[in-house]
Amino acid sequence: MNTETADFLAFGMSHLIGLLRGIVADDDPGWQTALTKRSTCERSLPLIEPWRNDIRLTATLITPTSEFLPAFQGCSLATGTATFICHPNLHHVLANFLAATKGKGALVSLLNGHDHSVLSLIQHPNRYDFVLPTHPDLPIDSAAQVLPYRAVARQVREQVAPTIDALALLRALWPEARMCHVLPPPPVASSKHILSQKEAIVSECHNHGVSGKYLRLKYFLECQAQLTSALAALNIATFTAPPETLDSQGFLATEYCWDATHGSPEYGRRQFAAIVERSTGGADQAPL
Amino acid sequence: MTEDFPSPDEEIAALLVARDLAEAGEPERAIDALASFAARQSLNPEIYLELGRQHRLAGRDDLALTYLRHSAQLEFGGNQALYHLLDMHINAGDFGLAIGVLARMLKQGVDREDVLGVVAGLLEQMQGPIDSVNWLAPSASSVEASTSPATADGTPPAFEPRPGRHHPYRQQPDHAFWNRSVAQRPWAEINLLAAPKFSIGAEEPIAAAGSCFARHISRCLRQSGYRYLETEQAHSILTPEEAKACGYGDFSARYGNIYTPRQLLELVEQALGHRPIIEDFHEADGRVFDLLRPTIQQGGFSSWQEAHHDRSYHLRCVARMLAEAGVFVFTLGLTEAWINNKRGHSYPVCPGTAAGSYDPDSHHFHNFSFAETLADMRSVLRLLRGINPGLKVILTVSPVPLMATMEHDHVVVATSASKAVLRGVCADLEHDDAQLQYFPSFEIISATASQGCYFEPDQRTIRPEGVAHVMRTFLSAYFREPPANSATAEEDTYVARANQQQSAECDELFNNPYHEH
Repeated sequence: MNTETADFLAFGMSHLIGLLRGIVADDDPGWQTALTKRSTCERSLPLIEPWRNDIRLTATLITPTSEFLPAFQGCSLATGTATFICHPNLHHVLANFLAATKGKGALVSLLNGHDHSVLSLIQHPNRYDFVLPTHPDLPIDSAAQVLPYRAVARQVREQVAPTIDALALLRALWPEARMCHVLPPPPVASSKHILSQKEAIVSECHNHGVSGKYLRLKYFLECQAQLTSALAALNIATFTAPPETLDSQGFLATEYCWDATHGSPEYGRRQFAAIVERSTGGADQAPL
Repeated sequence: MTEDFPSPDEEIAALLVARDLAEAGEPERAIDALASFAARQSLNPEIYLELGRQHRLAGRDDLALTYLRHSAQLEFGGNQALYHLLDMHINAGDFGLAIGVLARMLKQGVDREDVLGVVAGLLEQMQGPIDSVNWLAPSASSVEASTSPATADGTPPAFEPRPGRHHPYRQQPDHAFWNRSVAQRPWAEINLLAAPKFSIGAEEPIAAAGSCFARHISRCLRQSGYRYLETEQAHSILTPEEAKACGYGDFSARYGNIYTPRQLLELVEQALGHRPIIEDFHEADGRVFDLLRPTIQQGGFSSWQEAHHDRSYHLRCVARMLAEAGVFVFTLGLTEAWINNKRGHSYPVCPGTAAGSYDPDSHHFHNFSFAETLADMRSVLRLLRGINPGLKVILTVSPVPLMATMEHDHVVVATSASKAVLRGVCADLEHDDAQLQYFPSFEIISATASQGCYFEPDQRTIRPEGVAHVMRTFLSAYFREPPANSATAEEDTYVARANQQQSAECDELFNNPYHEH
């Protein structure tokens, strides 16, 4: 790692909290409360070792009470219209960060991240499944209706479009900025674990049940593939779950779960380690 | 004894002689020439017509009326005797009897305007109250009375029918007679299914399958408000466009067009587990096509696995459909088909047309015979009744001509041969099955008497009005109760036109290499 201090501005929703839980030092116990205050647009956070002295991390949490909601708004850039806009307050935070770091700072997006859970966590009243062409051997629910992959891909495309459009806008605003997007963790296999959590989405699972684990995994993989592909075209690196956090089938191992859909602090720590390593060009990867 | 009855040749010869004599001004001799035939119980209405005319010329109106009424009574005697009777009654001032005759003429297909014109004339001539008010609303018996030789004026008929020799057609209903049910009637008003074998309850689930014409039937049933059974429905995740592209909503399940009874038999066998699932897939440009349903998924499946799982799911839906249906409507479309050389299964269209590739070493043409088609349909029915004993089956034959034939015949001749086989099979099947009936879609659209009015200029595409006629007949024949969501009669054409706009997809189009797919 370079001896020079690296600057990161992490922004996003609930998955940002998951990341920060794993890397913020104990000497700022009020960071979470402060970030969720309406008046707080950004906060510099002390990090745990080994990053305490080498990394300066600023976080901007977009919550239902944020001053910059909606953070992004407008018609999709994909339609050719240029009316997609960033909230001025958020724009101000991002622009200030890039100016202050003279373009060396990296923007770390944890926007959204709920896509695959929204699409697949709750058991659909009409059970269905599909074959994912990239993983054709993943088991299929033999009692379920088989949907064409193309329809599912279209459904996912519509779901992830706001994330892609938002990041496309940022890339258009700052063509040279170092930028990456952290993908959410994959689903956890155990429906029992999911049903034991308190998240709002889980309450619906109590009413309708939890979808089959392979259906959830397929949705995750499809979301991940579409985001990775679209963001690569925007020169925005993507970070998937660290391999060691997955079980043998690609699900998030239970010990890295925080609740039904988010990663644990340890998951966040490992993810951040990967981002830092990549940002400096480690692990034989191109730097951000 | 048969030798007592006059032969047709004798009758014609006698009629020619009698007419010559009549023209020569010798009515009595003309009567003599024919009288013996009446005594011998001729069934030729011309004999009695001529006798009536000659007795009338001779001034013997009583006998004239008797003979003319008898001529009119012979159902296939045409309307000439009725015209004479009408004339005699008007001249005699018997307006009530005249109106009775007019009612009979109306029933036999005489132009309504002509009849009404005569009635109006009669009313103008009538003085005072009408004596026989009943004639204004004639019942069957009163109409019968107007033409019955035994009751008109008390004169006994000159010839009593011999015991055991009733005219067999006399018992037949109106629809059995061309004059009464077809001649001079607007084709659109004719109901060709006068005697449905059974009725369908408003809540009875109806499943449909068959050739491209069956799509019209299927869509109209779906929109009729009655319970159209769909066991393979589009999932709510699919957009309407995706659902259409995946063949949802065309039939009760996603089998696409089923042209031949063999194709239906193989589908039923697979669905019910009587034969292994046939997986005949073809990959092109990274997409996979099910050659047994080549157009069911526009652009094909994303992978072999998707095609495999989709086919399994589809067959489960078919099995459920066969088990849950109260009524199964199947439209037989073709006898010509393509067969897989090695595995023996049939294709809906020739491989290499809609999808796949044609290989003479793998595929061969076959035109199913009457015996094969009948055997296939009997096998289908045996399997269906095995899982659904109460199933009512309605068979139709598609009136859509062949797009192309692989026979050496002209396509019109090949069409005729193919439809004849299918129609004959239906007739054979319905004879001994109270729960199976042939429904005359074929005749409604393509009977000669329709004069092609339901075909577009290409003489193959069915006009919306034709589909509306078919469905109007179907719904009125089989349903006694109104549907939950009734489509009005005014909507018939609208519905049919909407269907037309969607264009019943005919995979057989792919048999025409010059068609722009």
